[in-house]
Amino acid sequence: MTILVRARWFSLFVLLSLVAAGCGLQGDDGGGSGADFEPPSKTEFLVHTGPGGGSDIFVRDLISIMRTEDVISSNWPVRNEEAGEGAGAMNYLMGKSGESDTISAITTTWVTTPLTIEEAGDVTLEDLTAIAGLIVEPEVMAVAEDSPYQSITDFIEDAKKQPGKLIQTGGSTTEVGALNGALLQAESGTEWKFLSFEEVGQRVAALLNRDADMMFGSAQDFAAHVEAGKLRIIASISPDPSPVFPDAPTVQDEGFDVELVPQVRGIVGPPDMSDEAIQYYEDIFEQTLGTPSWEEYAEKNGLVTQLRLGDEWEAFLAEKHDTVEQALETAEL
Amino acid sequence: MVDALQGLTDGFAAALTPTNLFWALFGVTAGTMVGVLPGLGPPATIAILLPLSINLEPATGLIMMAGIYYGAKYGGSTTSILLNIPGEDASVVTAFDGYQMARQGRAGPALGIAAIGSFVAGTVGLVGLTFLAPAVAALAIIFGPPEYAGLMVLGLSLVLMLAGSSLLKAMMSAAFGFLLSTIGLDLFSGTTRFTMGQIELTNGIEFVALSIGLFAIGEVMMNVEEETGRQLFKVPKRLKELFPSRKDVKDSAAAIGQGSVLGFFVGALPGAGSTVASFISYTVAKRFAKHPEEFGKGAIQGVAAPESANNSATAGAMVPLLTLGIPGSASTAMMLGALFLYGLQPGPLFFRDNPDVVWPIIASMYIGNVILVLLNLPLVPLFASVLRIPYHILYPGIVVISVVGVYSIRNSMFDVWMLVVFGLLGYLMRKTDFPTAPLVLAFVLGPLFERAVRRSLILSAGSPTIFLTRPWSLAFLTITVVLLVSPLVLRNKIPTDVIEVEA
Repeated sequence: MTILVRARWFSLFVLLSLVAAGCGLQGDDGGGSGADFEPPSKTEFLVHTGPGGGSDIFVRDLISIMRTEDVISSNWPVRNEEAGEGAGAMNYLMGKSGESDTISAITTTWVTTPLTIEEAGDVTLEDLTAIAGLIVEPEVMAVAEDSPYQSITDFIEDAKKQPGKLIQTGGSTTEVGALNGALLQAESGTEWKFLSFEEVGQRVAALLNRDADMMFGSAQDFAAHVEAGKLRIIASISPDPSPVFPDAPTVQDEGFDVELVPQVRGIVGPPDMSDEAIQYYEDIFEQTLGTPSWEEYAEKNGLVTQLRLGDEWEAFLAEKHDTVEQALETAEL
Repeated sequence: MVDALQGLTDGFAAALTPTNLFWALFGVTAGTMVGVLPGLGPPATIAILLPLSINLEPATGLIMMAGIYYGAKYGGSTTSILLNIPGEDASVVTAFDGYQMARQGRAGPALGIAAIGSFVAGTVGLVGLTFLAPAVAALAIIFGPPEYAGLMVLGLSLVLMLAGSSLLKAMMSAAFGFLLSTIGLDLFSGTTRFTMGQIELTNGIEFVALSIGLFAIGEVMMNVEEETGRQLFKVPKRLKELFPSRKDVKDSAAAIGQGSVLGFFVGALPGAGSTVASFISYTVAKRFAKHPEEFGKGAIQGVAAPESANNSATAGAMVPLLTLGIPGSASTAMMLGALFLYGLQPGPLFFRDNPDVVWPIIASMYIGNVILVLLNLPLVPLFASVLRIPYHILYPGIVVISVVGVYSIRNSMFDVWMLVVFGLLGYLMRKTDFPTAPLVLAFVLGPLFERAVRRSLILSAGSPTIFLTRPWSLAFLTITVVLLVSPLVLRNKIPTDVIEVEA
């Protein structure tokens, strides 16, 4: 008897929970910023990582900010197309040609993937519609607290003394940190090794346990460990200094004349998006990046806001395409 | 110690407010449902609920997210046991013996011991999280590539113990699982392997499609082929049979104990996680069982050990997240993302700087565990009665749940086709008496092993001595050798029938 009663209570609770969840998630149709154009249905926000991945978290944060600041009137659903480092997401967008209710967050990975992943086929970023560039995530170089290196020059000088011995840790051998490592090796005429880990946490752990000598990563990857005195930031691997570590000298400051690959995040749409749709989304993102919530978010996470709209964003991506291609050649990938 | 007690007391005060209690209840209930149904996993659920949670206080939001995470491990065992459908990655091992128990009319005791084991282990894990967090965090850092390689050698050697009647067939099954696991993008070269140009294969074979295909679909095909109308499941008649007996609990005590401890430590290692914990705990239980020959045929320890380990692992996984800001799984990565969104900076100083966030989360997990066992135990008879459903409804039902579940993971028809392929494979393996467990074990541990070895060799510039010079690695290799050799040495002291099964 008690069992039945409990079971009934449970189902009631489940029902209530679902209603509560529904209230939290539901809303009106996707709204805009007063523009005339409206997409035919609620905008689907595509990302190329799984739930919990970098792009996924960024987009969910972005949507929360847009919702908090009433830039949009309901939450846009996120769609994860994880296959092939962006290749799957690109192909998904290709299938939405001419439509206006799907957009995607991109990172520098989208520039690299068509050059490295065969399965991507013939798709390139140029086929897609450039909507807006949002941020650059300045990469910094971290070493363990008791590391002998005080600057990137120290590290490179040591690498020259023992070529092929020192270890940089990071993700895949085609990600931004690895490419910049390859460019710096070519520039300085020395060599070091690259240790790949899937997760950022594993890379930081490798740095903390001294398996790796250094790592290029975002301010967010290191900030808490720097504050705790476990890691030090010795260089900025980006022309834009990190707002979190403004004192870290850039690679150029240290006298290396090399154009590095930036970690960027921005928005693209499917091919042949209408001008009204492009304008509609440009307005939304321009408005979002001007809100106090965004500024606070960017500052806390060490992001540099660099709004680039339409053609400017397209030109920027084309330029980065060349840099990445060159880096891949240098790294012989 | 005193600090931890003080923190925990304050945490309980905060966690017991009506708001926090409600969201803990909400989280664990949602988690249970997510765990019961295959497909949508905890990370995706946490992601979907992120917009809801950021309107809550940081501690409250995290209480809910953590609830989903460990709640799912409770629910995951249900469909594994009843229908041979692993509802969640970490419950794959539970199906080995749980489903056999269900067939023998012991679904109730299996579900019951899963709930009890989860509760005990979850609580043991939390005690570890409360008092040992800093020490265990240090361990997580020490654990580099050679240490993982050693641990994986230990794990893979356990294939021999999952062998069943033919060692050769077990090895072939494991080798095939290993090969399947190499499909997809290779981190070290940035290129793909064995994808046959299929974009869907660039991220490898979806584990859920593989495990549900091999187990659930293969089993259904096997059963429909046999004469229909035969009583496949013994249906328990008396209420007493619906719960674990005193003997069941006594038999499972050791398995729950080791699962609690192993699960906590393995869970704390970034990159290992609850699935690996469940495998290791299962095989340890088998290795030290009085009747290892019963494993795979409905041994209650075979349910108790992995279910304990996967729950304790969730508390373990909170250690690197809260003490280092290092997430070890997709679920904890989502929680880290949420913490960043709240403007918090989890890292080595998180406990010191944000006790008002950390301790309520930990305290709520104790409470959540109690809620879960109170929710789940009364549901046992309800769930067990699923097996009364006539087969002409149950089997199509299993197929539908499997297809929908697999499709929903990444909205992919390709994965559904993979489910069909692995269903056929599971059927053929049953027909030809190949064990499926070694395939799944190798598929899970293989990539971890391969990457750990490759990383180690990068560190040592190609010298394999690194596996012997790092103490933890050496320790795991030594344990492996001892485990493998001891049955041979002790041959005279153990009844021969045990040896034959193990060989």
